[in-house]
Amino acid sequence: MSLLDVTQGSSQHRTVQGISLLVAAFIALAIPFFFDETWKFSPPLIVGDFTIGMNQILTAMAWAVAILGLNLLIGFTGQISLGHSFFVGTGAYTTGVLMIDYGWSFLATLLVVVPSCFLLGMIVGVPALRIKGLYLALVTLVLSVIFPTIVRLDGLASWGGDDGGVAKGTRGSNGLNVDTPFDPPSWLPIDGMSDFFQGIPLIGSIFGEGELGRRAPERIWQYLLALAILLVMFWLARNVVKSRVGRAFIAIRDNETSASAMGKNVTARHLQVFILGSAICGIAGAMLTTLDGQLTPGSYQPLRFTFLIWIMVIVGGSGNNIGAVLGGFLIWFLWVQVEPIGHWLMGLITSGMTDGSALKAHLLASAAHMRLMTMGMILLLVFRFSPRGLVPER
Amino acid sequence: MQLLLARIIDGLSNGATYAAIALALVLIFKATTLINFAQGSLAMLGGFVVYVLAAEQGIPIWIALLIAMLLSGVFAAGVERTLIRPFDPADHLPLVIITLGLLLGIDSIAGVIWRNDPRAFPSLFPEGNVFAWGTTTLRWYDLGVLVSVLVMVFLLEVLLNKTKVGLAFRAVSSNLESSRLVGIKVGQTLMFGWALAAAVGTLAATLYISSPIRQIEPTFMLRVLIFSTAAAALGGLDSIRGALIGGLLMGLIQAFFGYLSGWSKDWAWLPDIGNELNLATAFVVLLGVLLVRPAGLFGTKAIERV
Repeated sequence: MSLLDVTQGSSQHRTVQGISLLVAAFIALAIPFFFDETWKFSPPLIVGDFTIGMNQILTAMAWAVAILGLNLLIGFTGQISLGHSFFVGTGAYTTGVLMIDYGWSFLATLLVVVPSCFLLGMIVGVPALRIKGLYLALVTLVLSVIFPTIVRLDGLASWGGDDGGVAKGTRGSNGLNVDTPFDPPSWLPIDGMSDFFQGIPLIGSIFGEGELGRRAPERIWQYLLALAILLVMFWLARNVVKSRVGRAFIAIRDNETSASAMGKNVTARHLQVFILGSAICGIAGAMLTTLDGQLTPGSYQPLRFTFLIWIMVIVGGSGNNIGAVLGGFLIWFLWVQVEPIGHWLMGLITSGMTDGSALKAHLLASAAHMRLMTMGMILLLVFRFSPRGLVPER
Repeated sequence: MQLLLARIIDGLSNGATYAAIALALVLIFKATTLINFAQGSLAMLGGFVVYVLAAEQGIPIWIALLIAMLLSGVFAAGVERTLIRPFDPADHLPLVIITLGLLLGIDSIAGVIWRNDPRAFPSLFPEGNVFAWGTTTLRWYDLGVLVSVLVMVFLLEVLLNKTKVGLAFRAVSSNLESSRLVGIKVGQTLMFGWALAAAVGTLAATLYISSPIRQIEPTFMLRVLIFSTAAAALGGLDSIRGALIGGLLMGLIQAFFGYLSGWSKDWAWLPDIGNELNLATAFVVLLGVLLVRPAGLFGTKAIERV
């Protein structure tokens, strides 16, 4: 009997579970004390550095929340929505405007984001979900494409009026710039936590000792908030799925006719999950606002955004929350790192060409477009060889 | 009055292109109940082929258009064979995501090749007006677009109703399994449907972009796609006649909204719904159709056995 061979439910199993939970919690808490804004590492064989900063980690966490929202919809009810970027955008702008123009704290803005996404989800969902087929995809596609034009509306761009020459509101094409730092509350002993991690024997020095100094407490607090939101959403999604309602979702997805024959109201359940998913995506948007720094309708490409969340869910495994979130981290990492690899690859291809040739310049410039191609290839491969994703539904 | 008339003419000529793209959507929907979200991008690619042939190579534009329609048909048939056919047509999820990926992929390839700067497009029709009455003008372009789309619909009807390949296509649309049993080559027929839809799309894109006030750039078909999906839903997703009428109606509704937004400037309390919210008319129409008449004006009502 090997060391790892334990019976499910035995006391050994519980010990193993407890230890792995402790390790996971330690790693989750240690992350903000370890990474700074531009943490680099150079893997062997591939030329160039991979950069992982806190900003990217926090972005990945926001994506994970959006994924949980979308997975409820496609994984557990089989509905196809292309418009979740609309709700992400709505959440992002609501939080952004409230934080910048009205000085609200991040958590307080969520109290506005969630109800407004609920309401919008209902307005969109009621007409679209009554009818079977691709109508939800159709409506939500149109919705996400018109989102940037809504943001640019004069009325919204300056609805808060002018405040000394500076318009309040969504600011149209200029975009929002949320740079309010997350001041940690006084009860949180961030210094103490830093001391704890730095005091660990042997590995303590990697937690920002020496010339690197300590990590910014605002970033650490922001990370802890994001972690808390992610865990709460995870718990929520899990409980929804495990509940009576969640079983109804799965029954409807697997056989609509038989589920409705057993007295399940198909439309009501679909609407419920759509609205819930919308609100969760709104929260994800709120988290994203505080990160990108700049929120402009020009840089925000709704379809690309939707496509990326979809790939994350499908690669990770639709119908499995852990899988979907892991898929999210994986795809986000690739999305960020494909560009350096693309530049390296194009550099390799073009190294034989003469300098200044048009083709060389063209190929080098197209490295930036490698991302979408790579994502498309990954999607096709997953669909072809592992359509249930990396971690299939149990 | 003159302004209203001008808007109506504008709406009809826009509506004709929406109708053509809606028609392409309907062709594929009829056969496979799939909405091809990449239809606009395929058409955009066709438009660029026309641009390269006509503006850069100096081939007469109508011949360039025919070559481009042929090429885009071949390309779309290849797409159907490699990216669509391997997947189960009854499972919408992978297919929707693949067409969405195709949309983004084609757009970004076009962005790499032609960059995102607008270029002037050679015109299909003579410049100038057929007639002018004050501010109301009927350009040769407007007339040309309307006539071209009507001729195209006529030819399509002939193709589908009077030829053998059209018969096979209608059989596949009506029942995929049975047509396979009677010996129709379903795969090839679907490839033909995709090719036909892409050729129709290329014609639509070329008509749309050859307007004297428009310039060609890689994302120009996204707007058209949005209006066309609304038009297809309005006319009924499985009706060719519906696509034509839905498209024209969509164009008129959009023009009418534009006309109204001219008024709304007088009412200060109304937000300016002018050009910015133009796209939202498509959304409003779509929601309205789904609320009032989900099958569209001419579509087949879905009857379910529960």
